Amino acid sequence: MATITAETLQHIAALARLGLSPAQCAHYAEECAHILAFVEQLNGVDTTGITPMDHADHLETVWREDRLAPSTQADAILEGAPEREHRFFIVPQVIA
Amino acid sequence: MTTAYEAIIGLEVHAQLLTTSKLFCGCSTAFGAPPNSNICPVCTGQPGALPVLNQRAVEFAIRAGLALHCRIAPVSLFARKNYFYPDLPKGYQISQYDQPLCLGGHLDISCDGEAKRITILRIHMEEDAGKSTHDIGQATTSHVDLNRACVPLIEIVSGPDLRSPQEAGQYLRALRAILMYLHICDGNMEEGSLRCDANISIRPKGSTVFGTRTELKNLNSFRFLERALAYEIERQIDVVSAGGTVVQETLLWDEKRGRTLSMRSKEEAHDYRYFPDPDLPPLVVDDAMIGAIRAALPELPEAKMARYTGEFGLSAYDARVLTSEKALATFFEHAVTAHRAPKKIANWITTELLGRLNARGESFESLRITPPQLAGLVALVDEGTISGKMAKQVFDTMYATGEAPQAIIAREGLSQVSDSAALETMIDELLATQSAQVAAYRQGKTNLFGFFVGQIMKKTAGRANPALVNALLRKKLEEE
Repeated sequence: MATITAETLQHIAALARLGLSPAQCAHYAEECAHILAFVEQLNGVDTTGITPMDHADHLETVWREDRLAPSTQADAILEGAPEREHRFFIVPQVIA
Repeated sequence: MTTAYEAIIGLEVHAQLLTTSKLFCGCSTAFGAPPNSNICPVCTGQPGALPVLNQRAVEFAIRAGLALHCRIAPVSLFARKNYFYPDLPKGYQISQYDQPLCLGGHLDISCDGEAKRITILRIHMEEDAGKSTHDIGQATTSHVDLNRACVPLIEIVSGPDLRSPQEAGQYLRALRAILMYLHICDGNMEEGSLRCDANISIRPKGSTVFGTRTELKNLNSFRFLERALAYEIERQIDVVSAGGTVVQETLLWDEKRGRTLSMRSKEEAHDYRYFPDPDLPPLVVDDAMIGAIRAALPELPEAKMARYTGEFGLSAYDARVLTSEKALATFFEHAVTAHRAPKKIANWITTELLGRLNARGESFESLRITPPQLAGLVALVDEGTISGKMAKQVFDTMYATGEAPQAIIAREGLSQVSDSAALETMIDELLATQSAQVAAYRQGKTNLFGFFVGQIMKKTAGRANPALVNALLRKKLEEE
């Protein structure tokens, strides 16, 4: 069965901006291992001659004409921000 | 650079496409709008909002692909590039990854008079991020403007074929010219419509393996690009010469300090976990669409160069200079339409016009002379109304004021005396008062000819048509 080390799990959690305690880490490592084991069954399927699938549905390209449809919701979106100033969204300093 | 090493450089160029609306929504792409005025649920990543692809953006990307001799993939995929940054509202950027729209092309550049073919590995489509500003207001906050979020870009990735900062500069110039010829990007590096990152490594000359590369960001002018690359090549050579090894890292060019700075990004930052975007079906382009775009491609610099040297008989150098920018080529062609003297007009443009622009550091866009005006000036010389010397004087005024040459000539009384009757009278008077010199000339002192010409020029304040004066004088001196 596939295993997931605590380091791998911490790495994935950091990429997803999740803070996990060591206990949670152990718990999710085990859960993830089960999920991987489930997915691994697919490796046993013979896919010779089958085109790899990129999408769940069979839509082809949906086009939009290059025309303005100015948003009427800019102000509403701004108002939803926890902090703003002069129409800017304010976030904690990114670069020191 | 010491001769023991050579530099290996590849460029990644992001070009903003000149569409009216964004890549996946109907918001405006206009630069300079008030912060966060061109934003909607799609480009700010509101739950449930769905992207719909802008057809013109795809057409523009295909235009670039065809012009750069790429293969256009009949099916390509949009993928999510996942990372967290405040100016990326969805937490991922919609880009293309393992199945881009355009693959395997090339761009021919000229460096020190030699042609060199640079590989284009791929061109893919993606959306731009928003803009973060870190230096206004409090030191503990950053300001985010999402107007630019979701603006369509293409990323053009070159092969590791460039060997010097100068070659990299030539490549970027040639690429910018083509994008502008195609009308798909305004090429404005200051406003960020064209941005450039570089991958760079060094290796001992003769070696065929690549050294460890660094990535240079923030090379947003030709000057920055060439300076940053030159600095980074020296830095890597110093590291290796001192027995060290180059560390793979991302570096920012700091123009003020003239050096590169490590971005010290966390290693997690490069794990983007790409996967196909489930909100966007595969991008399928058929032969009819590609054919229509190919048929509508404008004449590109290479083809123009061939035409200028062939049809117009220009030198390769002049043809290259004139085709280096679309605006310049258009100016030249309009002028030639007005007065069919391509070599003379080319000469005026490459020497007088570009010479002045360069000397004053002015841009071609700020030029006040129009193509018909320049053509008019050349025509006036050809007709003998003014001499070549006067034309330069008139040109100076045209350059400064944007006035038509005819108006300047009329106002300043510059027109050449081409009235042969008037000149003949003048010559007769002159010869009558200079009988000794005339006799000497007739006895074989023919080098006195210049003296007579000089006298007539003096009388007419330099306005006499030199060719006519020569002919008339010779006739008079030799007939008696």
